[in-house]
Amino acid sequence: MPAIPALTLSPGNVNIDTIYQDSIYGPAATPDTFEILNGGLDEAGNWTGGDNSLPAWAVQEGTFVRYWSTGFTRWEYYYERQLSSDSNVNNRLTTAGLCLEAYIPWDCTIWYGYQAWCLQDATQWDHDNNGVGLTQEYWDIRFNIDGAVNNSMYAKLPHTRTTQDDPTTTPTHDPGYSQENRWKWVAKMSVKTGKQRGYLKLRTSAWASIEPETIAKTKMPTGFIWALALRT
Amino acid sequence: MAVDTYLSGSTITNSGIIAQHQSVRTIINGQSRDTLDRSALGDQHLQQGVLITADVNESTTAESLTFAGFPIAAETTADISANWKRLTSYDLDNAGAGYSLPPCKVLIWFNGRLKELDTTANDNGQAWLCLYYSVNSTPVYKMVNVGMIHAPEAAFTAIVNYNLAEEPVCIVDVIDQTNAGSTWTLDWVRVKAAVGRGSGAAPAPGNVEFLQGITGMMAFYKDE
Repeated sequence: MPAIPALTLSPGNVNIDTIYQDSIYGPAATPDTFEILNGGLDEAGNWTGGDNSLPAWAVQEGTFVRYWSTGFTRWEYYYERQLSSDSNVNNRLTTAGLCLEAYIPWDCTIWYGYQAWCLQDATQWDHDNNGVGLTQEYWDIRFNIDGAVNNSMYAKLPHTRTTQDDPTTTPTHDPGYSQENRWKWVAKMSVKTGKQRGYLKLRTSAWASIEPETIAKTKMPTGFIWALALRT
Repeated sequence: MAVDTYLSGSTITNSGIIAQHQSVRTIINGQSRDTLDRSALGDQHLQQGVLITADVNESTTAESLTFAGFPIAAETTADISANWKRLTSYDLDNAGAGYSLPPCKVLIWFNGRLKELDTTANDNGQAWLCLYYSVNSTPVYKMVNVGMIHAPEAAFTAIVNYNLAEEPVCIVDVIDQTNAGSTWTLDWVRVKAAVGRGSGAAPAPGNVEFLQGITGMMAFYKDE
């Protein structure tokens, strides 16, 4: 299988350290001890013939790559009332359908992300009907990996309708932004290198900048979160 | 084949150890792939063999462009090359060194946030984006890596903002260099953008702003 070379020892007394390093465990740049069996086999270099013909069925599933995903196809609802009218953006709703936890048995690079259709209730209010005092509500989605916020994966879900205190000819939707009958497609992905063996925790959460007196929600018709661990 | 072992009470010598090592290595080296059982080898035996390298640029820096400076003239790669604005916050280039790679496939992507597309002055404001890359010092533009965000309506009245768009964007591509004869270099992965006005009359969007984007790459060993 591998090409472990013959052991050479100088005549004389038996030296335990030499025997150990030359035959059992010598993690040199080119491993040539029995240690090579411990995670060091490379078909091109260590297999007899080096013909890259190791059959796939001889390799255990998950040796090089592992993948986790979860999603939903039934609508999920997140309500502004769950936020208790709190203006603190760190008091957020965990979007449970878009969370994932997995145990990774080796050091790796993680490719991860999520996708979701979003249909949010959020309104643009023109309180005094003269262009002053405009309030634009929105929802947003924050992404955490292993407890740390990844700000580059932030998604904002803008208002989907507009209104005035004294409506006249104002339409009930805002065609420039999302409309209530148009779903937002959010897709985010990134990479984390140098991930050490252990648990991976991915979490998304929602928060709303919504007028306290309103009853608003974000609906997610479908969503999906995933992680691909590539052993390094 | 059995392994030669010392008998209890015998003297351990260098020559005896060499003989024992020889008997063990002969058995190990002699294993052919035909003797392997199903799922015989795992991560406890094999080196990793899928990922060559991966890199990512996660930016929270905002970048803006205006119609006056970067209008789209045509949906062509020549126009992208000549007229669009490079969003430098999303450059991915291994700190300028590029990525020296064997024949392989590389997954590249950009996802980000169009924070603002202001079409105050006109209907049909457009923001265009292109993910592109360079192989061996030659930029590569593909129309399949172009996306457009459309804000269909200008302001109906002066009192409400109908004219701003907010959109997530995601573009993914695969660079197939499995037929490269030797080591090649992925110099960089970048993003360009432009603004347009669709069927509306000039002027088009006054401002387009991108924010919170990610440019990434992952290179995978090819099948042998």
